[in-house]
Amino acid sequence: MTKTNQLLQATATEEAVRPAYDAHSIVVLSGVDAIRKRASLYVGSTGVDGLHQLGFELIENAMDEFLAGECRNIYVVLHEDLSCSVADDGRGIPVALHPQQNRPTAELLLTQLHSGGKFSGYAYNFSGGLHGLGLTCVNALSERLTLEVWRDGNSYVQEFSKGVPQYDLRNLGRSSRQGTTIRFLPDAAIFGNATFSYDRIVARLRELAFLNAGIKLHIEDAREGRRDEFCFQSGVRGLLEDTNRHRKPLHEVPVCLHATLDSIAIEAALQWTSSFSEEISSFVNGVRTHEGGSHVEGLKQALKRAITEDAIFIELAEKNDEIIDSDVLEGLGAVLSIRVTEPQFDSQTKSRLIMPGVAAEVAHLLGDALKKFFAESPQIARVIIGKVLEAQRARQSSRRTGLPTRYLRQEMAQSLAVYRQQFGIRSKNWHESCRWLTDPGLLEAHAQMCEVDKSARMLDVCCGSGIVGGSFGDRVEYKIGLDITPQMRQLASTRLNEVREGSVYDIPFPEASFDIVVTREVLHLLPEAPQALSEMLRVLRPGGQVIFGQTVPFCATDAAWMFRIFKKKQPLFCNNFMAEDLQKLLAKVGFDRIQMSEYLLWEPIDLWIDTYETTALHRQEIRELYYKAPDDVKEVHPFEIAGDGKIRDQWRWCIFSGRKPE
Amino acid sequence: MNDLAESTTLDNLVDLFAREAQTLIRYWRFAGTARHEGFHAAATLFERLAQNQITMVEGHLDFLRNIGDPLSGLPLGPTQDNLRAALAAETESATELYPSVARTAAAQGFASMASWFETMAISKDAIARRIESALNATTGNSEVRG
Repeated sequence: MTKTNQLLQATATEEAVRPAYDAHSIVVLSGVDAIRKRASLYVGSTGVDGLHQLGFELIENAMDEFLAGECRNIYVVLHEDLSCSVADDGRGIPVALHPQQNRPTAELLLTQLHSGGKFSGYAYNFSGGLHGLGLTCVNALSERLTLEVWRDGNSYVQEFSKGVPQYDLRNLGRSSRQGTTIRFLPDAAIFGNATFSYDRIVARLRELAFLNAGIKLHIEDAREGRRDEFCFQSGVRGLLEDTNRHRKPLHEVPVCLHATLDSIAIEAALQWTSSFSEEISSFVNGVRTHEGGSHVEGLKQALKRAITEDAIFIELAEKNDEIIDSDVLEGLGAVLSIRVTEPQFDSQTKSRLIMPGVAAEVAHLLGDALKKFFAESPQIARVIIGKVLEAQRARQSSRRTGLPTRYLRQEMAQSLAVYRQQFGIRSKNWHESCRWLTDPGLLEAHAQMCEVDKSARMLDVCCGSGIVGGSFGDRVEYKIGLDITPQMRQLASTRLNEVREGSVYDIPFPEASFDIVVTREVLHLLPEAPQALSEMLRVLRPGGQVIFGQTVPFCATDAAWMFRIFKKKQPLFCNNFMAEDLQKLLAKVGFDRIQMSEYLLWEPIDLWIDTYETTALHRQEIRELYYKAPDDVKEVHPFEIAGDGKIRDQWRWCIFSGRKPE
Repeated sequence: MNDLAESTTLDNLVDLFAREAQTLIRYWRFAGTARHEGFHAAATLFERLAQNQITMVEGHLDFLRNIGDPLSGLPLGPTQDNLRAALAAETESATELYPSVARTAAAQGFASMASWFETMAISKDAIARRIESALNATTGNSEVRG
């Protein structure tokens, strides 16, 4: 049993001194009229995000019963009529008449703002719902809602429409069952055509099952005939191992920390990996805070303090080695779950915790726990501190050598050297470093443009792993790769007949050596792109074909936004080509019979930016560019932000073909 | 000439940063006016253009912050550098710039403009003090980030 649960059990057994969860513990503060008018203010949006927020509200309310030690199972059903029901086997919502309002408490909970049991400061110790707005919001924004309560040996029902009771709470007679079921149909007048996503709710339930060891969460999708059940005993450690499953841990066993103080319970699991980006999943009372906040700041301070004060660090670090947050966070996978009373967030959707006191407490408690762990496990401490120092030295050396070069115009020779170093490092996990590299559809979109004979001789320029040339299969006879990076040439030699060292600016072959030249996602990195295309033209025989793919903006509206994202990801980025620009450029260089095809591909951005050349600050700024994208951009450029903050972006690939005049 | 710091391209970038920052605030205000006059489509247009302006003006700053602060000439980047640059620029505004333009405005007979500039000098001085104490907190390592 976790310390949190021990703490919660302790509070649950204090029933004698703490008032029970009944009509007396509900304080009514105000009415509900505003919710329907300003739905997005209460649930974040009137689209698919807000719709899911309604379901999550009910699930979190049911979870409060589990946290109070009163509920073992939660059942979520997505019905064929597009309604959703959430049931629990907890105590049942109180139904007695409220002493001041003279209405059943259950009805007040569904119709009055700030009427939650959690609002009066007792009954629930650590509560996840939206400060008592939850049930009322769900009800107000539902075309219809049915409440069923089984409590104290009786069964009750009440129906609502758009937040208005359709009849008084009815007692349906004796029942031995216990619990609450709420079934609601979101109002299409508010949420339009948005419907519930099974996968999205499953992702949330998995998370909750990890964070609340022992709860059984059941979900059924009556629309598609799917069902799942989640129950985990492994807690935050299990969630961390799940998060880190695609990354390479530097130490096998995660660092697991627990700490409790009067008003706060903290659980954390930490594991450093060979990746560059950090992945911190943070929760307050079981609710994900994907913008972090005070608790995450506290974790960072704790890490920095424990690491820099450790004897191993003092032994290994050079004098004046300054450690900053991004050094201790590089490659870190972490799950941080805290429980506090009356959490304060920056908005109703709880994405960021704002409680400076919590930052200090987390820093203090976790810092001490981590120092103790390091003292007891010096081998793991050595691995972690080694990684931190490596990150710090890489940052300092890139700063020293990087600073003067940033002032200079991108010189060809210089960028080639940077390119060689960068892609040498990335060759270690080249095909895992982003989705597009190996996407079969994108490769096929290139190969499909091929118009030359099967006896053709091909040159794959800046061939990388040779995957583009290789994907042409028997459409061509002999394939030669060209790359400046030794490690990449090694990879390509398994796919191509021959691989040579050389630069695209000065292709080491005479004129008219090839029938076809291919390349992909290269021209945006080349300061002298026309010169590169001219070289490709030179080595083609008359009538020969060039084929290359390139990511491009959808239109002028997303161009500046995309420029900033690509530039932050890849400092070598220097050409933000529009599709039309590349067609014109091909013509200007001397190609004819120019054609273009398009291919749309969903790219996982968190994976794409987890790379050597993207700094920690730039990763954060790239995420912000997505989170705060202008509405105009959202209309033309599809991307999605999942419930856990992960981003996927639909890239527009254009594949160009041109022929050397006969 | 390859040194951006010595180039007219840097001058252009600094000028365009100022221009796009102005455009952002203008669009913001234009949207408010349009909303007030009942031109809701125009108001929405200006609000959306203002969002786009943020992307653009920040894009200029992406380049500028690698070179230095156009207002103070000091380096930008890490928070302490940013605080020092902010402090230098606001101090200059408080002690030299606004007092001087206030005197000029008064001499030229623009009383309310002179008063506005004087008010700005006072405000900027208070802002400089706040930045200074934030800077001291970071260098004294006593700030609790949270």
